[in-house]
Amino acid sequence: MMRHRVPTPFTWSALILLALTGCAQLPPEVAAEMSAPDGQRPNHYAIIEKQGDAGTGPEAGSP
Amino acid sequence: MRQALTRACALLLAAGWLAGCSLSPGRAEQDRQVDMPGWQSVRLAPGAETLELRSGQVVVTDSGGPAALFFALFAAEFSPFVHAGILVMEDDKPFVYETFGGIRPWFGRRPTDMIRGRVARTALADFVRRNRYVEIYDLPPGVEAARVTGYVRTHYANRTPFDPYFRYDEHEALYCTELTVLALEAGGWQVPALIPFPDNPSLTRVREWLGISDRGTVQARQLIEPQRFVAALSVMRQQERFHVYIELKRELHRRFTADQKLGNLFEWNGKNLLFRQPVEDFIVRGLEMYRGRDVPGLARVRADISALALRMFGPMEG
Repeated sequence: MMRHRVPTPFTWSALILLALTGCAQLPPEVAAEMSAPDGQRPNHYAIIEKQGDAGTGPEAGSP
Repeated sequence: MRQALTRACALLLAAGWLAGCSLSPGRAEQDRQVDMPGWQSVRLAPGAETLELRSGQVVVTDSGGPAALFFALFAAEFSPFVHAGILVMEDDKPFVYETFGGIRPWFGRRPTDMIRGRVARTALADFVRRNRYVEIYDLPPGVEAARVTGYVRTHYANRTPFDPYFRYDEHEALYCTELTVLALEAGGWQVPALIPFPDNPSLTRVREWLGISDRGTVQARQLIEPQRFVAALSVMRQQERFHVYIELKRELHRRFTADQKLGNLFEWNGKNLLFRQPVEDFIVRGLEMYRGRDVPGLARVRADISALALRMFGPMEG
């Protein structure tokens, strides 16, 4: 019969450490560049289309 | 419900084009012999009647997703393709020698510190399946194919590591287009100058933090010429659908002017680079634009994508 080992505190630490290594944290100056647009700088990718506009234009009109 | 399903399929399509130089396929896909063609459609060069695969040909692809667009931003001029390799015929079977990396759990401060990979040999069928759309080009005139293939095979045998820092000033580790351009150089080709990074302060800050601080990069478009086009292979029956994706990427690239920050396009969740929701919406709607009908000519697609961007994002200021 298979026995299940209970992880020791050391094992837990190792597992948590292993998980954390996959999550690179950004330094503040880099995080500022990767942060969501806040209106402080121009944004050429901000949605301006009003609700309900979808379905008009080239998607519906192109041959 | 149908809309949600459609959206999921379109996203899968976009995400399925993996980030060539940075994300890896499953290990099982490498070094595997494949007897069945991995493509659904072939577009040959004008006048060609059969698919002529020869050792030394250059293979390019886009690979897609957020990372592919991120790499495309490394050059001010848009390049439709971000990944490249060299075709080698072995026992009459085509293989692509390429290099790429994948993010592995590792003690690192930066994502680039966690990328590991090496020169790989991939059956062309698997390469097409993985990248969905691939173009093949003949070598430039005068370049010796045997030397080109010898170069990539040597680096495959040496297990040369992937270079996540895109350094061209050393060749101990190689990134995808670096491997390809050096192979062409080994065959006698005059290597073109590096394409300098664009003057965008936000990209520069992030790029330098990632440790990518050489003078520039080799871009896939430098390795090919339209007159050397041999064929395009795709898992899609209608290859024009890939061109819709390329035009969406072109529009996103065009809008990334010097005053834009990377956070307008992407977010980093600690493990992966993702598109911001508006960008994802734009891609999904663009990919769905011609659902259920033939894709029109390139000029019309470009105009439609431009109109979609104008309606969703508005005109660019400045």
